[in-house]
Amino acid sequence: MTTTRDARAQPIALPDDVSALEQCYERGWTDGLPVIPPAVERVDAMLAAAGADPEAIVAEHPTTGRRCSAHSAAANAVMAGCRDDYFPVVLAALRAMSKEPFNYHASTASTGGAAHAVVVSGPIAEAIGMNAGVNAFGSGNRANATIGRAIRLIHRNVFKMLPGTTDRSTQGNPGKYSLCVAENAAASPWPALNLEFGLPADQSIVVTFAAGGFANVENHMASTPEEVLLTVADSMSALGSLTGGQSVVVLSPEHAKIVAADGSWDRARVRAFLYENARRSSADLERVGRAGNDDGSDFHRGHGPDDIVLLVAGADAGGHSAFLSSWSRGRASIFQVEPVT
Amino acid sequence: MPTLIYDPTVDDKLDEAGVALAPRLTSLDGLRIGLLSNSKAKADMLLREVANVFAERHGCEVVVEQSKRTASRPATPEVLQQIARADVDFMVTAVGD
Repeated sequence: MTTTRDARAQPIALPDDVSALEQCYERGWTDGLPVIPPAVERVDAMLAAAGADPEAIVAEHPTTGRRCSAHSAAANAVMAGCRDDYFPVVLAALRAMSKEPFNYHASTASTGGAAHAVVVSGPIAEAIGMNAGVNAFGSGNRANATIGRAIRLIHRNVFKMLPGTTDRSTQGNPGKYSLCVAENAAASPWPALNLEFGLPADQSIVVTFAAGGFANVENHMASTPEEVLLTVADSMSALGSLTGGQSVVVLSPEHAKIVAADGSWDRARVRAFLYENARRSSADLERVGRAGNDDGSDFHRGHGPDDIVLLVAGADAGGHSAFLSSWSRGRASIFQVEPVT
Repeated sequence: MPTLIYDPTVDDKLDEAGVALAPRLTSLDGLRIGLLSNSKAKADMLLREVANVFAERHGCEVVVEQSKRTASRPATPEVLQQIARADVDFMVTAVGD
């Protein structure tokens, strides 16, 4: 298989789009679902729309040393089904994951089977038609589905992280097809994530996170902040996912409304409460063969409240929030924030 | 009308001209071994067992043992340099669990 830069100058000719799609399958370029053939005019148009230099390196994969140019990113974004105006979000996510200490290589190679989550905050989410409301984690929205999918196709096609050879996921993860969510700022009682990370309201951002899993946190009977948040903390402290790693907590609008009702629970207080309560005794860990803390103290999820990314997404109705655990038993992956430019 | 597609697997890997494979060993007899553990449980036990086989069959000697600081990240330059400074003839690495 030719993967050198020269291949870029030598497009492959197929009789029509359908045979081009079959060619993509035959060459092992898809995630199993059909792709849009990366036709020259489609890829060139995406690059032109973004004003991107095709040769610019937008991501580097450590250990393998493989580098992704804007051109290769666009080819895969086209295949994923991205519209041209989604491309800046894909590029921002790639830049974010290239930054240390994201741990890009191990999170794409490990038995842990991380799904590389992309959280979008700021005006671009609405501008490109992302869904932050009902069914926020999908499926059914083109932008959410294809931005996340573009990332996965790049891991496969450009970085060559292939299941069975370089990607050694024990079970994989449904989020490895796509895991992209937009913040529902309109339903959030707290400042949007872009403001939380110190950027102006008109500056959109992505937050990337190598997620181990997705837990639906269900409680329809909770009526106080403590009842909602203790339910979340209980999911965060499950023995099967409790590590010193970071967390993404996505509250539903209904849960967020309960938590913020009296105005005293700002984001900092919520995160501090979650950190304080997302813990297990060392004896609990030892009961399942895991090591507790040396001094016998309780084992917390993460190193502190700042290890929790907290946002709101989903429909108005429903006592369903979500907790995304970190990939790896240790503290292997640290979320990254990147402006969308 | 024909469809012209780009190859989406093009990577812009850095020039590898400065990296060359070590020459192949023609004999293992009496060589010096370096051991590198990925730091997961039992990787050290596996490495020592393997080293024992080399010692018994070929009279090899372990001259340096190192562990990665964390299994989930590449070995640091410091760890690799310590192995390099020990002037080993070959290195064995193991993944534990």
